[in-house]
Amino acid sequence: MPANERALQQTLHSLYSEHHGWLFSWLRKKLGCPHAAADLMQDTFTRILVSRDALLTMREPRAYLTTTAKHLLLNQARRRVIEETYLAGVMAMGEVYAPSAEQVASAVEALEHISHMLQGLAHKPREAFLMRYLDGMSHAEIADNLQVSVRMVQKYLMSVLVHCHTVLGESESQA
Amino acid sequence: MTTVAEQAAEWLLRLEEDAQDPAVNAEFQEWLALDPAHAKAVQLMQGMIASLEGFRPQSGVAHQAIQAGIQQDKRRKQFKRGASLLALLFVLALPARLMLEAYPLSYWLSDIHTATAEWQSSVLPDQSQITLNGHTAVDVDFTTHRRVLTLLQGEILIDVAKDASRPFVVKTEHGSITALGTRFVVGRHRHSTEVLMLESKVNIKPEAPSDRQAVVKQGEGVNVTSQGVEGLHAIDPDSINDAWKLHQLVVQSQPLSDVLATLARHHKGYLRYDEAALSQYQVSAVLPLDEPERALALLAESFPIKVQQFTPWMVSVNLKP
Repeated sequence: MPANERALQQTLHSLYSEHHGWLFSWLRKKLGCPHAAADLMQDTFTRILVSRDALLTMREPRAYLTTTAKHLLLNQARRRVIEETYLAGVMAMGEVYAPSAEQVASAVEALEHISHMLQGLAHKPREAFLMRYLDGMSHAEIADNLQVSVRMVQKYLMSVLVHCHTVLGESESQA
Repeated sequence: MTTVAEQAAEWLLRLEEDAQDPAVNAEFQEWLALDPAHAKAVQLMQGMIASLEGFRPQSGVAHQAIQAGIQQDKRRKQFKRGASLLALLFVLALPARLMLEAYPLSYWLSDIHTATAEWQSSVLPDQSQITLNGHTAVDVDFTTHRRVLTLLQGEILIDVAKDASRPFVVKTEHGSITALGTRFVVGRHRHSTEVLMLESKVNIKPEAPSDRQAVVKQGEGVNVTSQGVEGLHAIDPDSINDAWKLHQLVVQSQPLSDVLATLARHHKGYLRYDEAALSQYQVSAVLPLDEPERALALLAESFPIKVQQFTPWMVSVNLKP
């Protein structure tokens, strides 16, 4: 195990020393801002460090680095969309709810996480799940709304919970 | 053969319907105890459910934001990603109480509220000071004629700023407490509201129709229930002042179940206990609120209770057989 660990460290080290200059200029060109590029580069390497398997099987480091960096760019894009939508909604609610910057950040984080979890699910199971836990509707009300049987609603809810377990379980084992 | 995830999902759905059934609960506990992976699966799912339920008061906004996120992903379908580590940590840090005990709507709509195990001190518009301990929610309604706080749940310490033209009132479903002086604690329990006077005095008008008003003075504590104002007893203002400073829970002859309810507000996770069985024991103690596990261990030294921990987020307290 320690030998394996050392090998990982070495791979990461050489990956960093050989490619960080190149990745930085690639990101700076894409983002047009050196600070954002530096942040994202840091994130990219952190992410690679977290997914160790990838590090060992990596064939083409530059392709891998750009793919990872693109992922992170997309996450940022999604985050921005969610944040904008959320803030616009909160503002529309008026003074009833005025969250602090911290509350907004954690709300956006949670929404990002939820939307990621629901990604890739069929429309009806996803709607059933949101109706149940976000809107607090009963199984019968959901069945009525989606024009399916109550049994089907329960099947939907189960499948989404199992899916949620798979997605969260994966990200946990990566950590 | 069903997978652990399927079994966990099945249990959660079953508990939504039969949560009150002790037999179902017992069976659930047995299943949890079979394998640590069971509690873990439940934990993961509950985290997601709690996260969604947390958005209920703003469900419209949440729907839009989630939809926007999914659309964004669809546009860039070629890039799949694993959930970020940060997001996972966030969900795990959420109070993962069973969905059955979801935060009520009034909590999310309240003007000031604290999360589980959170303490918060604020200055109100009239310069009065308020401290909220864990899982507490307050509505603030100040006009030119009066200052009204509605304590929806939890416990507050108030330092009232003098303003003779605007009476200062704390309301709960059990009664109205009008400040005639300055510093006092109001705690809302399930069946009563507790008032502790640290300085000066208050006038209490219970909701109970027939009951008279009562004046409670410095060094006195009372419970306001649906029966009126009762249980007048002496308190030590210094130790209660210290308790709020040091985040301690000071109780004098309180039912054990009420004490556990308070600890639950400071325990990040789900604390389950048998309310009826545990209400027969009276507790007088000083307990560390920032360390609910230690508080439970201290209680277990003095009472015939068994504290079982399934995961760091699920603790159950039962009478010893």
